[in-house]
Amino acid sequence: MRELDIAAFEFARRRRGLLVVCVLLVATAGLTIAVFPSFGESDVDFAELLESYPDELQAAFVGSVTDISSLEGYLVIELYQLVWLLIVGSYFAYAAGSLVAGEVDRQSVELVLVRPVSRTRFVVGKFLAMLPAVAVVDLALLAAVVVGAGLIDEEIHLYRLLAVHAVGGLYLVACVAVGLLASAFFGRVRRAQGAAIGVVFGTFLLDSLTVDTDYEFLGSLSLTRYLDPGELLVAGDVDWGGVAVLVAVTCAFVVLAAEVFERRDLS
Amino acid sequence: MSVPAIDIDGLTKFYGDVRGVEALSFSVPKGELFGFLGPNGAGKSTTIRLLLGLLKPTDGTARILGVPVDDRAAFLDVLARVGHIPGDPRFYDDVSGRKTLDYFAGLSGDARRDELLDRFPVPLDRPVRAYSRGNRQKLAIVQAFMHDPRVVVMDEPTSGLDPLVQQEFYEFLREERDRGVTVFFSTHILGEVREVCDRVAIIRDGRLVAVEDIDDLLARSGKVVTVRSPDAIDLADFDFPETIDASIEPDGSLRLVTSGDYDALVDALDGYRIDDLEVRETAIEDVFLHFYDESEVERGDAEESADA
Repeated sequence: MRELDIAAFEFARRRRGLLVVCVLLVATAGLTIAVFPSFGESDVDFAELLESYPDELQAAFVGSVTDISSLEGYLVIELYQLVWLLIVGSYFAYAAGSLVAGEVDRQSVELVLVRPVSRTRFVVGKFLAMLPAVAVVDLALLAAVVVGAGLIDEEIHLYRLLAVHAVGGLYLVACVAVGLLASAFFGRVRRAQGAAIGVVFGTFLLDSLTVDTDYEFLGSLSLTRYLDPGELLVAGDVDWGGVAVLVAVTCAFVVLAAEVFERRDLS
Repeated sequence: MSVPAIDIDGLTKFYGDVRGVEALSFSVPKGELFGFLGPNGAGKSTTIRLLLGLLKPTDGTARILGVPVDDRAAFLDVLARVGHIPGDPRFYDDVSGRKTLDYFAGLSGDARRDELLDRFPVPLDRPVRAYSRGNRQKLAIVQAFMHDPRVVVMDEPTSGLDPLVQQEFYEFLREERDRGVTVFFSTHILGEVREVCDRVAIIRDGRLVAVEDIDDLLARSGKVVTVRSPDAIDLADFDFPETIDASIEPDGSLRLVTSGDYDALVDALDGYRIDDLEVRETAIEDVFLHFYDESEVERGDAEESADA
């Protein structure tokens, strides 16, 4: 299983960067949760404040949440909608942008692909390397939220939280697939990473800005259209159709990345 | 006759309108030490990348051990028996030499790793980032040979090696050849070809200029004599049978390419006062000039007959 060798090697090289991301994410989650008790005690009517946001901003940062006074609703707005979907999603697209292009750019690919390793296996191996990376980040945030909620004596619905992290993990894997495709297509790391982050970030904005307009259909280009942390965490509804789309997009992009890479010149 | 180790047939690569290589054809039998000689930018690296399937040819084919490079599945099996050193080997900066070799071993095997490391030692536990150019090159040698390949394709493998290691490497290549391994390497240094190769292909501007036995090549390339004199030099005095080429340089000195017979040369020089006299080995530029002039003439002839 040479793709597993490739995946293990790639993952090992990314451990340090991954640790940094986990620390930052856990710190963000910790701070966010630590603020929650004082948030509830203040006199400001946050529900009213949210109402006063323009629809576009609500769509981007609030999602479907209407009740911000519960920890779940608060976390969706402050953590999952913005930090998780936009920032962590963009990070994984960006990180995946260097998977293939990095080796082509640095020319180390000339030492790998002259061995009995097909380009398809190479691409699949690189993709597989990111699965444990997504899992580590996903579990780190999950642990931070569970521990954080415990520390401020708030109850949190564990099954719903698990559902958010399960579907959210699939979303991050799809972001990896976007980065992988860009990485297989472009010969330069910066270009691949720029394209990947641009697509994830750009379609996120597209999804938010077209809500309740005639162009709402454009938002279906965005991965974020296929999961709703608010629905998941507050209402506990899993959108299985959306899950299917995320998985299908991931598979399609990995296959496409392999095929694009098979046909390319490497120089 | 058995299948050649390397067989290149009409191999052509254009990048848009820019020629990488055009209509290259030659083959290398098994167990030969074959040099691929050309100045920088002649298309040596492009040829090697085409041969290994890293680039797709515009036209023509390349085969290793009889399998065409565009036969994806079958060629992967062949790659298990191929070793490669790229022109400027780049490893993973933050990974140690040992882990780098472990990785490659997982992909294609490492039956001979220890033996090679004894011969070409590198600081295994340091990250490759800290390696000198020479150490990186030695690591490249180890990874190219550690799975005991039958065909080895190398792009300027001795660049960066210090002279002692270089000699060791030449010796190693001869031993590999004697074990039946086919060794194909590119270089722009004629001395290197002279020292180790059985045969050589010469490439210039993306075109094959000649494929020669080394002995024939050397017999034809001769030595270069440069004479500086305060007197006016008459070229006719140096028109010996052994003279390959004679010319007066812009500064008035004589430049003579000769395949031997220094007696006649010394006699001819007797009539001149001499400020400076130099006899040196033919540099690659001279050999190229030699071949290039010839191919120019041939091409000119062809065009004339086409006009007629």
